[in-house]
Amino acid sequence: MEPVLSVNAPSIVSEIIDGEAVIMDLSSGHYFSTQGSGAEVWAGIEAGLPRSGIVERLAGVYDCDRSELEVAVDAFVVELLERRLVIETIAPGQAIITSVWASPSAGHVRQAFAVPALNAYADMEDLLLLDPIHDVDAVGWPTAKPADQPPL
Amino acid sequence: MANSEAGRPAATVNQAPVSIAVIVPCYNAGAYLGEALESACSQSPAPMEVIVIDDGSTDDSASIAEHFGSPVRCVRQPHRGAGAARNAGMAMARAALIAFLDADDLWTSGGLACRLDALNAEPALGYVSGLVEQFVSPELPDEIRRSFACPPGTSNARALGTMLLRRETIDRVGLLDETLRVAEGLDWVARADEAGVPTRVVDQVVLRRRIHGANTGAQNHHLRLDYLRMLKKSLDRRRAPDVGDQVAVLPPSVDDA
Repeated sequence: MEPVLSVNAPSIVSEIIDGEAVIMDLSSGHYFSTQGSGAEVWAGIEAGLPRSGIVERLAGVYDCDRSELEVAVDAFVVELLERRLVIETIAPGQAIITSVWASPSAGHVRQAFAVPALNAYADMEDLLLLDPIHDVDAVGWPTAKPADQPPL
Repeated sequence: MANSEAGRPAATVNQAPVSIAVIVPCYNAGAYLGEALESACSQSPAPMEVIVIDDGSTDDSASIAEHFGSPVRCVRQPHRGAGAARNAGMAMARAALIAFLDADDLWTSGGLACRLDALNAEPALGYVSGLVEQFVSPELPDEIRRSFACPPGTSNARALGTMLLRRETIDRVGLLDETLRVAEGLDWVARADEAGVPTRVVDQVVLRRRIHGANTGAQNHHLRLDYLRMLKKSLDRRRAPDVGDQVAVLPPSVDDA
């Protein structure tokens, strides 16, 4: 079974705003934004698609060879995995959603493919690591203590 | 006057107050407000004014502030959020310098003086900030205290509560974005950076940030959106044609291990 992708919650939070995925890593204070078709790939990851499912959907939207889509999606996903923004898991029995975007309507003109890309930023690291989102999130602090941590 | 009755250390009254306004946004922080105000008023030199903006509290916060005594004054307003409360406080302030203190946090002894010294030493600085340390509120039951992991050490986070700002810096950068619920401080710092405002961090703990877990999980979604929208706004500003690309981009690969 092909592994499915998912956002590496709870340390990663994200939102697609104006066609751009903005992604924040609460554990590092780094944040990321997508370019090209990156937001569409991210939407597929949020929906729990495998890589092939993402390629399938992009093929319906973009005027591009399937092999080129596969290479681009693979490269993008590899970077997301390396940065630990997403995880890839085998989930037996898990229902895989294969359609996360509206199907192109009849007469739909496919767009030129824009390669998905990720920009990474560390310029607010010191700020993001302290701020109150960490107080109220399951991942952040005050987090539940690790089991091996002595009590206060 | 409540302050003198509280037995403030003698050193704090030996120096004339300086032209600093401390803005204290407060929403249902009655359990901690008095201690926060004492930590501000006991600074040496003392601030000229301490303005509590009671943001529609339903507890005794406003009453505590109103009875605290000079230089504390309290203004009540309908609940509009911390950003709006801080902006309202800045609008009322008469002092040349502005500082912020959350109603549940504490300034350290000497924390204001070191920031004032740093600001006075370099007239070009738009604001200075100091270090933050965190503590778990001691009155909490043990089982709750044990559930929190308090990060050790200090952080240079440029949180609003660590800042001492010149009024003209606020005129230059603008007020806090009242549409953001929690990220208004980060947003302001990002805007100040983008505007090239010179700043310096004092290597001294000036703020003790209280961890008390009063926030609830129900707020998570809104808080996340707030931060992500703040980041998006910052990215958009920096990518605007008249600003140029000022975004510091990380190298292609980051080893987070």
